Amino acid sequence: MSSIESAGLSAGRVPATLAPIEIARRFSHRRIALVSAALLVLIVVLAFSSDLWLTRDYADQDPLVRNQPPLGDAGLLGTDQLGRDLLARLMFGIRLSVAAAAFGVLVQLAVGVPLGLLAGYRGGWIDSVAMRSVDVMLAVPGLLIALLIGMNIKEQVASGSGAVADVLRSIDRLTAGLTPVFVVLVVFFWVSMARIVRGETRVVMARDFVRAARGLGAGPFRIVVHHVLRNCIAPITVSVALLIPVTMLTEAAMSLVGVGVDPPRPSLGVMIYEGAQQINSFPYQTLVPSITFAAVVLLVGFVGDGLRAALDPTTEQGR
Amino acid sequence: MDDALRIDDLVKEYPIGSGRRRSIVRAVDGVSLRVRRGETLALVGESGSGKTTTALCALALERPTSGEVWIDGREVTGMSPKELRSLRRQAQYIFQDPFASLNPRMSVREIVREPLDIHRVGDSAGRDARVAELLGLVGLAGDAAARSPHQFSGGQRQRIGIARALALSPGLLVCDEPVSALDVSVQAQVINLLMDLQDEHDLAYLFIAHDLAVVRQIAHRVAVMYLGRIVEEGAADEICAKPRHPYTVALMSAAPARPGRGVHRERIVLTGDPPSPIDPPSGCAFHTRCWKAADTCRTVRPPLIELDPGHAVACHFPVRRDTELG
Amino acid sequence: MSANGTIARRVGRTGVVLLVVYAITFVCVRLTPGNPFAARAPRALSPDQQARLERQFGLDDPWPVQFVRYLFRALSGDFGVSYAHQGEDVVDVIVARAWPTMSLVGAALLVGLVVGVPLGVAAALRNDSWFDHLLSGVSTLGVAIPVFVATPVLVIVLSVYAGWLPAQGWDGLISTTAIIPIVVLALEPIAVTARFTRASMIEVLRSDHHRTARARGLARRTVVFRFALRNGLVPVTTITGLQVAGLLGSVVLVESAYNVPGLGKEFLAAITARDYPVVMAATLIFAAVIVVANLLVDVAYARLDPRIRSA
Repeated sequence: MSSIESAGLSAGRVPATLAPIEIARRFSHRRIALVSAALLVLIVVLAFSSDLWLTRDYADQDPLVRNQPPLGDAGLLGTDQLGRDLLARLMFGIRLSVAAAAFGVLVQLAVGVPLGLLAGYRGGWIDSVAMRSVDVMLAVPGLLIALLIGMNIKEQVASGSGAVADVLRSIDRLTAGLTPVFVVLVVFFWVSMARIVRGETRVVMARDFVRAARGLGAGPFRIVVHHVLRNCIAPITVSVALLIPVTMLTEAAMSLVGVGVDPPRPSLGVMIYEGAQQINSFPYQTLVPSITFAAVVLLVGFVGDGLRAALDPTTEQGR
Repeated sequence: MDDALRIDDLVKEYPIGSGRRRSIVRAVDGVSLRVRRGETLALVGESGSGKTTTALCALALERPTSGEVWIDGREVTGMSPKELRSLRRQAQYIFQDPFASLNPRMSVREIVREPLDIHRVGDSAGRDARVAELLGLVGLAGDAAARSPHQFSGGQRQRIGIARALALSPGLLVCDEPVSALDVSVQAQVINLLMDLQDEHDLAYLFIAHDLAVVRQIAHRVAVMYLGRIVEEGAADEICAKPRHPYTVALMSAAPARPGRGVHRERIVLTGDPPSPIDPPSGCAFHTRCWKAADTCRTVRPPLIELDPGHAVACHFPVRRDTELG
Repeated sequence: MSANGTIARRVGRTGVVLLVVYAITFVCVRLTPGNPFAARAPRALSPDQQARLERQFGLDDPWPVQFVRYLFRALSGDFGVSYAHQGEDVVDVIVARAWPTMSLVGAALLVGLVVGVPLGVAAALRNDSWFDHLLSGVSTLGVAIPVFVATPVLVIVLSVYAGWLPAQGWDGLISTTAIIPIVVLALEPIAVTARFTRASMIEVLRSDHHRTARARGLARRTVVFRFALRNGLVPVTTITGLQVAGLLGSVVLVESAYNVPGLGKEFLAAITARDYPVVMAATLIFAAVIVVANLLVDVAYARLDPRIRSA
């Protein structure tokens, strides 16, 4: 997870001189990014409306149509070893991916951004503590710790006692079994955003217009919201876009390993894992979710690249 | 009547380095100034002389190490945040770089409205009307409000900055080299604007500059700074025509003379850079570059003494008027 | 600030990171409800037996005591006894499985450099050509596709359909079984290394220093390979260090998907079996490898970068 984050870090330094309309125009000139964004919207809409246009539920088993290949009589994408409709499962899996991505974005915006602003604005010991913890977080074996936390939360939900376990259980009912994933996202996904926003804040704070605002009598709130935050929008956007694939990847990996979403709920990770058990006889069963996952992640990546280029005034236009 | 601004024995030190190599730079070393209402005092000196630090301390944008600042008869040093806020209505700052001092993410309307929003002046419609009025005052078209700063030239941006500074009708403007980043042709327009505004609104200016042509045009009085200290102060005409401190003499001779005066002056070129404020020279700080320096200058720091009424010089061997450089 | 002082501080920070990892691991493991003994006992354990087992493994002491005791034992190389492997020493369990994991990670890093650097240099020299654009597209792909997707896809193509390579297993690093895991693991290092090499080389090639060398009449080939490459590769070392952390995560998933009997697979099995001693030891070892790799990179960086050396 860390190398993708580091790629995001280096992209964070974007001069803040483009107006929003200009950014939208530049983005719309990048064809690949625009097409990717449109496809993503289409996929998300299809996934969340699948109950309306699909006849079978993701958990419906039909012993008569087991292991049917795609494009056959048993649905567009065929069925798995229990005779469940792969298309329905795929659509539900995408919903889980989107949920993980949305929550990851929430963590970045609701935890990472305020923390970065606070550390950058106040400096001092708050800054030292925050940045030391960022250093540590970037040096730990992320996936292993994520799996450990996932294991812990799963067991808490399954058999824990006490107030914490009760809270986790009620969260789990609300989140369709995504609690372990959400906890991991909270633990890890504020880090790079806090670092980027903190650095950006310090750059902006040193600029004359912040001094001018103070000279006008502006208080800390106004300076942070109207001056600092407004000038951090570009790096924040880029960071969010770059980390969305990582959040989806985290959900899939955790579910695949068994510390994420439980069967029969089909995370794409679970589908890849279950399909791989029959890779010799029915390769399509792991190929379909694999390719779907890769495609979605890639589309998000293209949108992120397009945003980054659109927000960076030094790149040339029109590709 | 109280002075618009009075500074008494201001000292500002900055720590530099860290650990064992930590030391202190004295950027401003005992500066005293007064600006009367409706008057322009120009603060002149090379970069690094402590002009901007003095200005920032004057408006409590930097915390002075020691000394006192009075604005409109109220002591600024030691004000509570609330008192400081109300002070902002009396004194405003105009920045040197019109590109850095306007938030690129705000529209011109938001920028000029910000002081009105902060101090809750009137209602929303009233504030917008005031913005339009201010933009007219500084000579910008009415449609400027909806645009963003990067669509304007440097001169226009500085006008926006002036409109923002005037929004709260302050009595004192601290102008930190407001035209030095602009084209020469635009400089004159902005200077004229500032002079007109002074006449109309009875404004006092603390005007920081290194360009003496600008100073001649706008200033009533001039104070010359060198390495954190004031070395000469007096009426603008007098300082320009008959400087007494060798440093001022050198500055004046470097500036292009006003056409039509017909006074021939010998050009004195200062050699070397100003010494580092980290390790200032002993005695008179200027002795390392002064052609009149004697032993006394290296050991004894000359006090600022009023040689003529309203004209003070800090020099052991002030240049005699008329004779030396007639 | 001296380079030695910086490195000394980094070493100190490394200790802090390991301690934090240990604390997180300890809390995660000890806070996990569920009973490691009940899970693998053939019959329900009586309260007596349960208490005896807990006493035997020291699980009845207060947490702080367990925390400190385990920490000091770990520092002296004693990680206890595995619950799952019939009383086998954890160190033995780990050592027996470390080689496939470390050799896969090392090989992937090497492949990443050997393939990524020339690609990046080529793209930098042909900046904005079709090759450059192709590489940037492909590297987006390499970063985006996770290993647990790439593994089954490669297995299907190369093993199931083509029949060239085995579909799973491990016969050592020098065998056909190592090819798919190494390729899968190396995708991201190749992509990231190529990107950073390209960006860094373009910067160096634009610099005044480089122009001067060209103006002195040196051949482009000489300039690129003798001067630009040396300066351009300095930032790449940092990226290589960061990749170790990512690779140690990926290798867990690859081993699981390709059925390689390494540390990663053991870690997953230990998580499923609640084999706490093995889980803790494996996490600490992975963390140690990451911080040591980063430390080595810092040292290498300080030696390579003339600016740091002179400062």
